[in-house]
Amino acid sequence: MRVNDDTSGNWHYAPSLAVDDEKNVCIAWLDARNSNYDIYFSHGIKENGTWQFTKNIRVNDDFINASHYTPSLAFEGGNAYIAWYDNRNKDFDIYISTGRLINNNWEFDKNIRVNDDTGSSDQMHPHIAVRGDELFIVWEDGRNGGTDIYFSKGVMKNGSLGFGKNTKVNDIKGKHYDPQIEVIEDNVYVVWQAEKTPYLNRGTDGGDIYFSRGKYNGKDWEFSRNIKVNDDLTDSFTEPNPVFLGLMVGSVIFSIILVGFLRKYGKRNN
Amino acid sequence: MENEITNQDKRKYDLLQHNVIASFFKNRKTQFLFQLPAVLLLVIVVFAGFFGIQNSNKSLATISIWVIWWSLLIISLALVGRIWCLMCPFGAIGDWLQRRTFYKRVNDTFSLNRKWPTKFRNHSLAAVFFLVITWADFQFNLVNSPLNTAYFIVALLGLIVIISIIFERRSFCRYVCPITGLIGMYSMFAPFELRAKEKETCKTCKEKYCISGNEKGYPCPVFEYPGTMEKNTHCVLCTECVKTCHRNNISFNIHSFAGDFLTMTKTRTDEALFILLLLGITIFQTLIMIRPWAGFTQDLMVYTGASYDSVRFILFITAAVSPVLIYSIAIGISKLLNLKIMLKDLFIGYAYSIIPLGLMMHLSHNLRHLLEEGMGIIPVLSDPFGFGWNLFGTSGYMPAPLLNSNNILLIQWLLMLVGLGFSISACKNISRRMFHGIESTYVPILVFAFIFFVFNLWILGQPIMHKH
Repeated sequence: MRVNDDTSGNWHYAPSLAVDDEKNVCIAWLDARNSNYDIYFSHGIKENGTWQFTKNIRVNDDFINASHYTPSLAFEGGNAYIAWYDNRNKDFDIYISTGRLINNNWEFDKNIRVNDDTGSSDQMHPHIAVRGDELFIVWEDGRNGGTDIYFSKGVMKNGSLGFGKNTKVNDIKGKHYDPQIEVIEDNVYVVWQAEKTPYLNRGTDGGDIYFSRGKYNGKDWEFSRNIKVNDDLTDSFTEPNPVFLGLMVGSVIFSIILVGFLRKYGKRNN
Repeated sequence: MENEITNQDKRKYDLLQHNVIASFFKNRKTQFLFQLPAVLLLVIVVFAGFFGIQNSNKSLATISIWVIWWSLLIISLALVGRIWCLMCPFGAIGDWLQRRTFYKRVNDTFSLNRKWPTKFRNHSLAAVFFLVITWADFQFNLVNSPLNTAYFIVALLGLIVIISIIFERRSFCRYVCPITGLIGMYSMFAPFELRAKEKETCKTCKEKYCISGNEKGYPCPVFEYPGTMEKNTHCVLCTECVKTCHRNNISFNIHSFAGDFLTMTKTRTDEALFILLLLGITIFQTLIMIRPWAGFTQDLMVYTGASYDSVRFILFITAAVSPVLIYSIAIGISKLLNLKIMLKDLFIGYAYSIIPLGLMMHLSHNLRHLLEEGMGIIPVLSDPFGFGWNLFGTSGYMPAPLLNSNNILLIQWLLMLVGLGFSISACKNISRRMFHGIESTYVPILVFAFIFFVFNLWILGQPIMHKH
């Protein structure tokens, strides 16, 4: 069943899916029908054994030809929450919008920026989880020069979402990517991919999956020591096999010396 | 000036009649100016493969070589011929080591200058090497492994160094280079050529500096003689013959596409077999990317009880050989209809007419890679080793493909149509020159070409599963 309703041939990527309160599906994706990438949404309902999807709705509310990437969708209490990142402010920021069904039409609120940095660093790849009217979001954040994982919690107040101070999740150095978040009771759980910065921080692990648990201490969010999940030793950075290189370079040097000798010997004989 | 142009063929235009271009070709530093950046880039690519991030989508090694370079190579072959060989960093390193200079003319070369063994003076080694590398790609995931890409480059560099110091001139480029066959065959389609202006002038030339070299230039590195050269197959566009010819009898012509097929008279069995082999491998490379392939291989595994590697190997060999078999049937029919013509002549002669179709299939395949994945180079340029750099502010940028899928498919089909058109034209021309234009000799070949054309259209229209 095709979800996007534009004419064929445009690119559609990175769908995210959530199941609503009535066991129907909400889907968000990035969509190139307007040349740049926008975030689109559709709601699917099963009627008489067939899935019917609503007219596609553009979620991002900017009209400056910015690019919007990798939506993350969650649904609770009649609200669909979609987070993504875009470059409407030149650098990439995390944005979120809340949508709901009004008079049989899906309507999305004004887009809200989540990251609270003031610089021009990039924030990318958000993922959200929802509990009641509270929203939990994690993303990759370049405000410290590298790529870290940051977290924020949003609360719906007077029909509008407000986000708290951003909190860094990872406590190891390196580059941290693609976080995922889940919330159960008072705990939030975050997993992500970490890569060491090669040749600079040899102590950190590379190309691994890390985990942390977050809890609110009454004042701030605190995240536990980062734990490596995968138990293998494969590295995302590597070094060439010295035996191979030694053999190659050795063979070449040996051949050059041998040819040099044979030329000299040949000339003397002549 | 116009009267001095000795090229009689009005369909060709000699670019060397312009002094600026002629002096550019005659300058000894010209080739070096092309080679130096290529060598530096190769060094960076090897570093990225060995020490950079081992993620093929983020590594300069894999994206620059297998997506960008390989695609641009095929395009350049169709448009300009063996222009890549002019700047090839592998050839450059072999030259520099032999000559112990970057561009000057020296007499004493650092090489044993052995003659290449006579029995291997054909496409056989290059064909085997090409097959092995294609197979290594599957077996060692060459295209998706920066580390293995770097190993491959270093191994190839080692091989060319050793061959260059043992054998004379560019024996490696002519007989061993894994892509020399592919480059040679496809470059026959290009609208550019280095040729003698007047064959008669070459015949009467006693010095023949293009063969022996003089103080202005080296003898042809790939053992070509412009006096008899009639196709682009081996010419590496190094322009040494332009430098050495004291009679100014070398032209750099621009003419219609596929011009070589209109004039060539010399055909070879090894080249004919290589053309068909190349067609099979190109089709196989595209087949393994499409969705029905996965189901087909799984069915075969279940049916035969063989492992995936075994099934893939058998299919690889089958795909490589099947064009030879099907083409042989077409040639067999042609022979039955024309008993007086030698089977071998038919087989070899008409094989060249398949080149445009094969080239366009290859071009279509790589065009998809380039248009869909090529933009991946933009973030990689900012962080070529995955060290977390952002040199040009494009790190983390996720550009959209240059064209949507339907438009790419449309271009692919148009290219295939162009290929079919040129193949038909080449087929008729070969028939006219070699077989007195007897229609019954080439009709079975046209049927063969049309079958492959339709099959390729089907392949290109299938949903893609696997990308580089």
